[in-house]
Amino acid sequence: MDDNKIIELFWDRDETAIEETSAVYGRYCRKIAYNILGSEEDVEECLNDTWLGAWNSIPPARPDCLSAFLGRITRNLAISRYRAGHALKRTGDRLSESLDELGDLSGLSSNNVEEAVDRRALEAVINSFLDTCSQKQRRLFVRRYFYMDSVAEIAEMYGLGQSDVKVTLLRMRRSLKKMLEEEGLM
Amino acid sequence: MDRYDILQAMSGIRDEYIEDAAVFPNQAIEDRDEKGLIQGAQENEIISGAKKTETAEMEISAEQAAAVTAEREISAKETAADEDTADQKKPDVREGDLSVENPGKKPGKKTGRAKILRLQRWAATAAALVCVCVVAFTIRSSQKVNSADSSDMSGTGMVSMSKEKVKVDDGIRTEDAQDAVSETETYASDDTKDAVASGAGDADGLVNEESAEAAADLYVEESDGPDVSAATAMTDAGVTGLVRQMTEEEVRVFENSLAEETGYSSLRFTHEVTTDSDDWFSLRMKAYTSAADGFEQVTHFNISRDTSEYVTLETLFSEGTDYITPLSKEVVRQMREQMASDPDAEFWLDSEEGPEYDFQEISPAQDFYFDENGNLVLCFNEGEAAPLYMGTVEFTIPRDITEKLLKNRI
Repeated sequence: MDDNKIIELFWDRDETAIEETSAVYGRYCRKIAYNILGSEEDVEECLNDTWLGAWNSIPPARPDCLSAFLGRITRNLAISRYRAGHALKRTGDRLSESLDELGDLSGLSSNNVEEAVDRRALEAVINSFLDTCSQKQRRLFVRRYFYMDSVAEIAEMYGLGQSDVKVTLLRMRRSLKKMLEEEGLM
Repeated sequence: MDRYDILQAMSGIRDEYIEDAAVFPNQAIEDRDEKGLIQGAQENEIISGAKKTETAEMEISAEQAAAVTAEREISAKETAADEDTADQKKPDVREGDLSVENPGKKPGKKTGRAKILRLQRWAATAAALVCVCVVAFTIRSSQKVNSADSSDMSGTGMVSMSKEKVKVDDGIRTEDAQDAVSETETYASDDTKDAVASGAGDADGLVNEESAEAAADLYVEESDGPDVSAATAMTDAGVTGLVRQMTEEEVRVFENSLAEETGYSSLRFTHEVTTDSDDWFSLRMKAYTSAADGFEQVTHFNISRDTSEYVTLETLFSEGTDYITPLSKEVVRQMREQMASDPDAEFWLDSEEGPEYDFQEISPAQDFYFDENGNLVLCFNEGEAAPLYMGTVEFTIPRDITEKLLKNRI
């Protein structure tokens, strides 16, 4: 079933929408959740929350890209779950590694009153930064920091050495940091 | 804001970038199976090596989707040796020189089609041998894929070509001299086997009833037959076997990558003679993997004209000679020189945050070739010594450095 039909099912409040979504995007979302949570039990719960989140969001939402929409929900739920300690840090520290890598960006300034504004500004800078990157670089970055794949997985996926991936990501983080500084977010 | 905020802000990455980097596991695609819409990429124009690709679709019923049969019609006479064109200077595009087409159907079989649309062949103006085989295929993206069986379909391609007597390593066949041999293979899903097409020999014997073609068309463009001496040198030095090994390895990696890839992907091999001098014969082989974006791996096969032997960098120098240090120093010097003169040039040197990944020295078996002037050229693949955007990079080592090191004259 294609995305438009699935979205129509959601809009029609047809509960088969969840079944169809799970059939089509189950593995896709499961991989994202597993990369963050690392346990089947947590992943199952996270996926159930994802389908529920989609059910509650569509309508009013009518996502242009259902995969990104669902991946985003899964990712946010999984991170929140991990952050809340539900995942019992069973990920083999994969998420910790990602967090450590992003540590050099953690000096972000924060406007406590309007943190949401800061978040949006941060997202805008990240996207602007990705706009300046080559497709290769962008894919490595997105695989690592959105999909949370390990460096080893990314290296194999794109036929690169792990050191190549690490260095490319390192340089990208450095460039992103510079851009954040220029935008006054650091 | 803390690290989690940054991590969560990554969720705001634009949809198109998320989708572009998406990898949909096989099952996700299989789950979509209903009637098996398969999208194939059809390369319909080859002009001076440039290719224009447009997408074609074909429908396969679920019942038919059990297997793929590609029947092949090969015009043997048209694939005969091209001696009569040996003096031509311009490309002579002869469509259908080698054609493999027709989606034959068999009960219980999946229907596919394989077409080698064009075999472009023109004579060697020098010793250049360029073979390009493109196996293009599309696995529909997860939003669009309907076929379970299409999910793990894959296509790969290899071309070997020679005017000389060639014995294919795995013993498939031996062709007569003057016959150009073009061999392509595709690998399809599960129970399906290789599809093999050859431009020479008994056409009937080459039809593989169980062969399959994976939601893809096969395209072979060949140009420039090698001169006889070059082909002999390659065969004598065992380079054909090495080339085969390399292509098979690339194909294996490519096939593995397809398990998680969606969308259009292709693997293309290009052979090119870079040098054919009195001293050296060098064949450059490129393996270009494309999936919206591309990665290129280049390997050179060098044969000494004096000894007719395949040589690696180590064998150029007497045992015990420290060639790594002086060659590495020269490479670093040239890197710095290029970065100083070109603001866009960047090599992995002097990193503040990742010195462990900086270029230190060349590999003992660093890829290389000798150019037509006899200069040693050291070659680095994408990501090996520079950021990916720099592509493959080469450094020509001055003779005053190499002459002191080489055990034989250049």
